[in-house]
Amino acid sequence: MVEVPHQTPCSRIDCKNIASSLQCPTCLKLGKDSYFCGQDCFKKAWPTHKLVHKTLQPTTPYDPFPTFSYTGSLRPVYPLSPMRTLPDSIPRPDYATDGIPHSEQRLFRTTNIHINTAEEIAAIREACKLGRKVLDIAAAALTPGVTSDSIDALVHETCISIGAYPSPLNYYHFPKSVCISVNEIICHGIPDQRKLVDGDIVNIDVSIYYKGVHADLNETYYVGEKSLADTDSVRLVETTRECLDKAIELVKPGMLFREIGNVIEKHATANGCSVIRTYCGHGINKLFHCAPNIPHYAKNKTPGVAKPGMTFTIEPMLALGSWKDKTWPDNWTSATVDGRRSAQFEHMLLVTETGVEVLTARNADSPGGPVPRIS
Amino acid sequence: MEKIPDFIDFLLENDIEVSPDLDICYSPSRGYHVLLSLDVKNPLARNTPLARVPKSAVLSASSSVLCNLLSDDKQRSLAGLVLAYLIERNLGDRSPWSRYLDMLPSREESCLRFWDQDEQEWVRETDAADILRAAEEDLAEMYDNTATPFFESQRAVVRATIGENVPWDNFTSKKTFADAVSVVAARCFEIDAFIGLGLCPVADLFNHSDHEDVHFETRFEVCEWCGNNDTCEHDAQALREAAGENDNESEGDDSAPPEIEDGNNDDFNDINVDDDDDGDDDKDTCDIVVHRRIAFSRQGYIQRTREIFNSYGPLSSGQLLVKYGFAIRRNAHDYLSLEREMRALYREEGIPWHELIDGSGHFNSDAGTKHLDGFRWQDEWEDVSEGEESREHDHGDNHHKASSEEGGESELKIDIRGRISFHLWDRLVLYCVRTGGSPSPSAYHEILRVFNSAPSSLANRLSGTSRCIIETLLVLLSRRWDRYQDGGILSAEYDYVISEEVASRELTDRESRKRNALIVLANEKEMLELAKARCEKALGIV
Repeated sequence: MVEVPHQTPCSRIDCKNIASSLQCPTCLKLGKDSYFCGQDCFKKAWPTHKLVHKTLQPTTPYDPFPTFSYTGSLRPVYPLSPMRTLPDSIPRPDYATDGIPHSEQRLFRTTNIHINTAEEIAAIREACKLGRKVLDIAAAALTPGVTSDSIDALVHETCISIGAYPSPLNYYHFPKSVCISVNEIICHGIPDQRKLVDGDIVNIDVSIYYKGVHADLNETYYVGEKSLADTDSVRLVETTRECLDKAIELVKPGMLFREIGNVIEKHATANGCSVIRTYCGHGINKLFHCAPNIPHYAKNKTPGVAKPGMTFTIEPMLALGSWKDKTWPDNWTSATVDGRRSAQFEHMLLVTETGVEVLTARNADSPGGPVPRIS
Repeated sequence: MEKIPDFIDFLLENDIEVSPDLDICYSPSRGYHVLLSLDVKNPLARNTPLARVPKSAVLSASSSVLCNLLSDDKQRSLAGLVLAYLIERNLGDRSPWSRYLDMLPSREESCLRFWDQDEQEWVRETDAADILRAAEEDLAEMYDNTATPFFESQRAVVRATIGENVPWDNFTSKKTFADAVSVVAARCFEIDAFIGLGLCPVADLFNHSDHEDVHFETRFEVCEWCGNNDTCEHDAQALREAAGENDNESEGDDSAPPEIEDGNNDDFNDINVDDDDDGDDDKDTCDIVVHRRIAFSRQGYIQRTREIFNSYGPLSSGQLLVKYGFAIRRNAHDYLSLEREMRALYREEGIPWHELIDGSGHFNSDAGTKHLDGFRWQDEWEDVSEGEESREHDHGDNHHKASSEEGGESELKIDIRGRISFHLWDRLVLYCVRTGGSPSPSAYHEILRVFNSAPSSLANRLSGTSRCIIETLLVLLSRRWDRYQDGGILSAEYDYVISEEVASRELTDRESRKRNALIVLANEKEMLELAKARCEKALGIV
């Protein structure tokens, strides 16, 4: 017998009777409690009552691509929550309206690399510090049982509270405000209703648009104790972290962008990991993605040399198995072809007169951080 | 020679395809060159590709370290390519092109610029000397206007890139630059509208002949901003700007969800162009393609040697000697300049060089064209003998190595068949008109008959203007002949000396240069002899 809250009136509007334990079965499925005093009342109430069902979110999760041959065990869990909105007061990049970054496309593949002015650098520094703050807040919320969608909501609200626009939102029609990539997902995972599980490794990639410039950073985190106990996962994640650090050591004026990949692939190979080739680091300033293009694998021929004032990301993605990727039918989520796990770390960097400044550096209280490998 | 195995590795790593019908060889006299393999059994048909080089393997300013250090225009130019080459070469093993660059000399020794003073005297009065003078001016201009400002403004970055082991003054000296120019100019190609000039491995191994076997082909018409083959955002943007739209306006209403375009969603990070998974359709290559069917008989090769030749263009003896350091006897594309002699004549008669004929006259330079087909040869370097269209472009230049900006190039010239150029015709006519002749429509036809070996009986029937034109031409030719101050040696006599030098042994460098000088002299003299003979015959001077 269901406990009926004391003196609950029947859910039919004109009925003044006390409700019995009779509940609308549809409401029950939707997670709502609706009590009626009797079958007759229920039938009478039905024409108006059923409208209530339409306003409730159907929480039955489903796979939107049931015929797709997934490469691993991860599945998307739809429906996605509705596209989030922002107050008008927050400045938006050009693609917020129609999804297309026209300002970027104008410069697509041109070879000139922008040197930021002092004002732009000041704005970028500030944006990067805020980006770090947003990422730390999102990472702190990671725990088994939360959905990636709820992390997205958190990121979105945090951006609003600091007056920033979440850069991924509507970028080439990306539906969410942050990329969350779990296990075999390399990058661009779309936040959905899947609950995180103890043993997952999760990458949160935060990008914000603040005072006319973009910031971009990501880290891979361990969810629950099981992931910290998994030898291969730890090896993968820590190697990726170290690859980024080693790459950053190279950065200074005169550095050739094509040499970054050599250092990354060397360390990855020494630790039994492969380097993803399809996605690269990129210039970033007033534009989300611009020149230079920075592949993470060895012996690439990407042109250009670093000069003081440039800002760009290095964001190596490594995998335990093959470097090849397969994209889901949502046209965003990129998974390894063999379903084995992938990890990524990203920093945004400024070339200084003498070397480099890591604009998105961790703070002492940032969640996550390196862990020793399991021998 | 020992560098070839490393080079083969380089080819494999860069997806450069070379037909197994070819052998890459080296000899001290010919340098690197390409031979037809002994195993080849069947003739190679026209349009067979013998080598494919992906554009991503081409060394250019835009694909190298230099891409963000020079303006787009300068990147496409020879100076930009030379700077990219210099830096890459100084990076040694750090350069992805190191195994290709290792095969290049530090300078093209046989080019006229590097001959000793007394050696240069051998060609003192030839077109080669004029072309060399102009080339030296071009070099100075490139060094002063592109290289020096670049070295000054980018000093810190370039020094940091190439390291402290390279002495800066040496690296940025004019001598180093001149050496690099000689190497690059002798082997670069015009790749496409985005890249401009580039160094294309394998394609530059082929030596030049005026009866070439293969051609260099690329797709030239690509987007200037990004090098894309097909339509790209820059086309769409150009259309939008042309229509006067503001790029920031949203398109249409938002009631229906916008279309998700599949291709664009991958651009969240820049998709890397080196990805191995690209299908063959996307591959964009520079090709070496059979132009003339390569055939051989059972007993041996119909071609004189097994060597396969490209064409660097319809270049004259002077151009070949200055830029590439060799000469071909009876070069099919040869021509000779009469500009100096013509200018002298104008000066003597007090005719201003730059005066255009007024509108009532028939002979302003545009009107002249329609009379001149058949009488003068085409100025555009089309492949007239085959009548073909080069693939996907209308630029005559793309099926051969790029010539640098024409330096010392006169438009007043005669070719190996003794025909005169359009501009020379103009100048002759203007001269005759100014010195008392009157314009005559029949002059053209008469001259045409003359140069098609008219019988000497025509001499009496030549009109006044025609006679004047031929007489003037003869004066030019005689003065040019006298310029050599070699006692009037005939081309046949030069030939005798040249054939004596055809050695069963390898020539020394100096002997080789002497031989090339003699060939150039023989070529020029023969052109003069031919033209003179025709004029004299037409005028009845036997």
